[in-house]
Amino acid sequence: MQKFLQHNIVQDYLRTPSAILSSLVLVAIIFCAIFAGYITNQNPFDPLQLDLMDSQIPPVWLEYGDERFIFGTDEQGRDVLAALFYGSRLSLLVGLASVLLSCFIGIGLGLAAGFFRGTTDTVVTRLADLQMTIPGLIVALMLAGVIKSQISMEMQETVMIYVVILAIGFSDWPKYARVTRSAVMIESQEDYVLAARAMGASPWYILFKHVLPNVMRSNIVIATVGLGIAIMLEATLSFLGAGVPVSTPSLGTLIRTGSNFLFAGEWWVVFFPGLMLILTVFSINILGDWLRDAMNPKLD
Amino acid sequence: MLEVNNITIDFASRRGDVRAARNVSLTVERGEILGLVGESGAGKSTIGNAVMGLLESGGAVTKGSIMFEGENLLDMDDSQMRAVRGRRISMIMQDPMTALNPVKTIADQITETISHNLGLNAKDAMQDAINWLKKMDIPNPEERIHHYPHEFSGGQRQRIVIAMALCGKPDLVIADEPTTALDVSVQAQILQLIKKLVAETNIGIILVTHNMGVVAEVTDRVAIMRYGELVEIGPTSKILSAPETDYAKMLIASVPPGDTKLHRLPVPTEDGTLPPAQAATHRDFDENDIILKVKDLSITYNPGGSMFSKSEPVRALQNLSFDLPRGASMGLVGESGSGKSTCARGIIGLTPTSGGQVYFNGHEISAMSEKQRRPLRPAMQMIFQDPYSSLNKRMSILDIIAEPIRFYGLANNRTEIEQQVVSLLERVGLNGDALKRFPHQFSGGQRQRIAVARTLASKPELIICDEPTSALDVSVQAAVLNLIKDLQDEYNLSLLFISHDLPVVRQMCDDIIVLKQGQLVEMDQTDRIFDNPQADYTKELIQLMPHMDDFKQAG
Repeated sequence: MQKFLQHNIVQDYLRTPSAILSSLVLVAIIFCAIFAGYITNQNPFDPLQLDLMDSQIPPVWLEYGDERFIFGTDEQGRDVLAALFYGSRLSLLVGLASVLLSCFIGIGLGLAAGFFRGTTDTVVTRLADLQMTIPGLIVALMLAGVIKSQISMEMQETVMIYVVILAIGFSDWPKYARVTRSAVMIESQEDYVLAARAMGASPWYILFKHVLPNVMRSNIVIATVGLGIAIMLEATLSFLGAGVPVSTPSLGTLIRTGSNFLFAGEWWVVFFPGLMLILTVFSINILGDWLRDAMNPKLD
Repeated sequence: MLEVNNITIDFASRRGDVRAARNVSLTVERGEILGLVGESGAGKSTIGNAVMGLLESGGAVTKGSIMFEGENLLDMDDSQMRAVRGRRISMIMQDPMTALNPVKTIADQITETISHNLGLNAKDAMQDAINWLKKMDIPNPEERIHHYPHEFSGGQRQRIVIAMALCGKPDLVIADEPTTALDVSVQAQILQLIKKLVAETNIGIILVTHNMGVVAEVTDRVAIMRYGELVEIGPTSKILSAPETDYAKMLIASVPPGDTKLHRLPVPTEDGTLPPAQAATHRDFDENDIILKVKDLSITYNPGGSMFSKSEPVRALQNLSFDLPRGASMGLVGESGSGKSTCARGIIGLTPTSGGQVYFNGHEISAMSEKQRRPLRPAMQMIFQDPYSSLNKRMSILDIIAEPIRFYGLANNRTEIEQQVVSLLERVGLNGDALKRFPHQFSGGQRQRIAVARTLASKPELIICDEPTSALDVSVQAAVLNLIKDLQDEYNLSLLFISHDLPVVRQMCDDIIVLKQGQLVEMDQTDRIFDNPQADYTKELIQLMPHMDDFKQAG
């Protein structure tokens, strides 16, 4: 259907080595995250599979290394590599879900504000302005922290992941709302909107059939960058203890527990999850940058 | 004085090099106006920019030389080029609204140029600037010079821009579409001014334009470009009356004549030959079968104002009445701000009316709610000015044309919709391959055809055309106008045709309404309006439209 568009973007992609490299890295990370259960010989979330005898083994290339644990183990005998894969699964999942939530709230409010103007616009813009005076991390920390303190330990095990998604999702919507609002205002000036009105179409018809598809492009671009930010936010929350519980560690939780052993010389417990986080977010950002350029018609 | 030898200009882009000009050679003498014409994408502005050394980033002259009084401009470094720019070669930009700095007074902007280029002290520069404004016929220049750009009208701003281009006493001026953004009456004054200045100061001018009328009016010689190549160059009178190349012939034949109404504009057939032009015959209509009746229509805008001040409402249209018989074409003519587009929007219901009635097929639609209007909607459609903006760029051609069919429920199933769309596409001269494609894959003229197909999809009786060809190139315009005429004959369509372009209106309309500032000036049959206008304003408009008739061959 959109052969031509894809064709152009594919052409551009093939000519941008940084985009190819970062997408390959991302695909590898996503693959490891999804198939973590098959490519690791241990489920790090299952206490029965952990053996305290295997604790604190350094990476395989160091003295006392064990070839079963390439990146070593932590103090509970958890394989760092396996934890890494299971952890990125959680990080990616939380990142993706929270970006979708932000998009949903932001695009919805932005559409309403830009299309109906007037009071709706004032309320949405002021709300967004207000929230943007508080850093996203503080908003997410507040939300996640308050809810976490209100629920029991047992519930935390299962519920906390949704709380984190909610917290991050609510902290990042103003960005999407602003971009959508201004894009809607520009698109509404176009003659095709007038043509639809002259046809007798209702505002809702015009909004969803004509305006929404035209504002998605800019949102896709900022959502890519937003994904990197959301993953970082999740890691930060978990590092600060307001995130997912230690029993089901995400990358942030791994870094947090690992940092306790940093001064004991067991650097690998914090180093590899940190590297993984940097690699993931960096690749996403590079890809987002490329996407922004490739989708910007002015650079054609 | 200026000799452009065989230059080739390339632009580097994300998708490889693009050649904007290929082996172009031309010369300009002192005291001469050279017209550089061509349709969009012909590379005419690129040539002008190359001479100024102001090619957009990524662009470079890869071959040839630009000799200016014996020196090759391409060999000069930046500082040498700066000494040439403004002082010896200057430029007049297209849009007077953006060419002046809004936060500086005119005095600041002109004296800056004068003292920079001529090295005069502040007092002399000011005196010089005032003299220039006088030459430009700006009233009361001693006082006006201290005003800001927004305090001047569009025409006055363009005069100021011209003054700024000339005040450094350059030898060569490049005018890039200097009158395109202006109304006809202002355009004529500016062209006269340019002509006068050339005669007085013996400078050379390259006038870049797409408008053949402007070329006929002021240029001594003309160069026609197409796809970055020079097609033909020679004295204006010779090129306009006896062009040699097929493209030049086609381009000149496509310009709608202002003196006669043709049956169809000459558009080359498939083998490249031009059919001879035929005069149109007068059409009569049944005065009792009125499809659209407008009675005392008034439209008032309220600009809103702020919390502290109530603004005066703007009266965009006042008490307009007319009858449009079935099958006829009514032209609405006027300069910007005359209320012609507002009138169209009021009739179709895009703008609320504030007084009077609109009857469509006998129903009073001005008093109806959107719901009551719905059944009448399919019969009344609108073609918009800019086909780049009137088609949703995220929708395929199939979806665009099928939208009214689906919206009004005019077909039963998918295959039926597709059949209808294909036959509509064929009707407007495109084939079914277009279905799955998107608007950006089509040229301006093709897009306007698609827009016309969408309008036809609901089988309308009345089509409101709001400047349907003013965004198109002249050869494309001719084809689209012919198409609209063909469709009108075939389906007995009634047209309300809005345009500022008098020759176009003459070709399209049976009757004409002349509007000025929301008020009716004159309403009559087209031939009578053109041949024997009654109102002074109409006379002025007709007299001011650029004529190329003097050069055209008879027949």
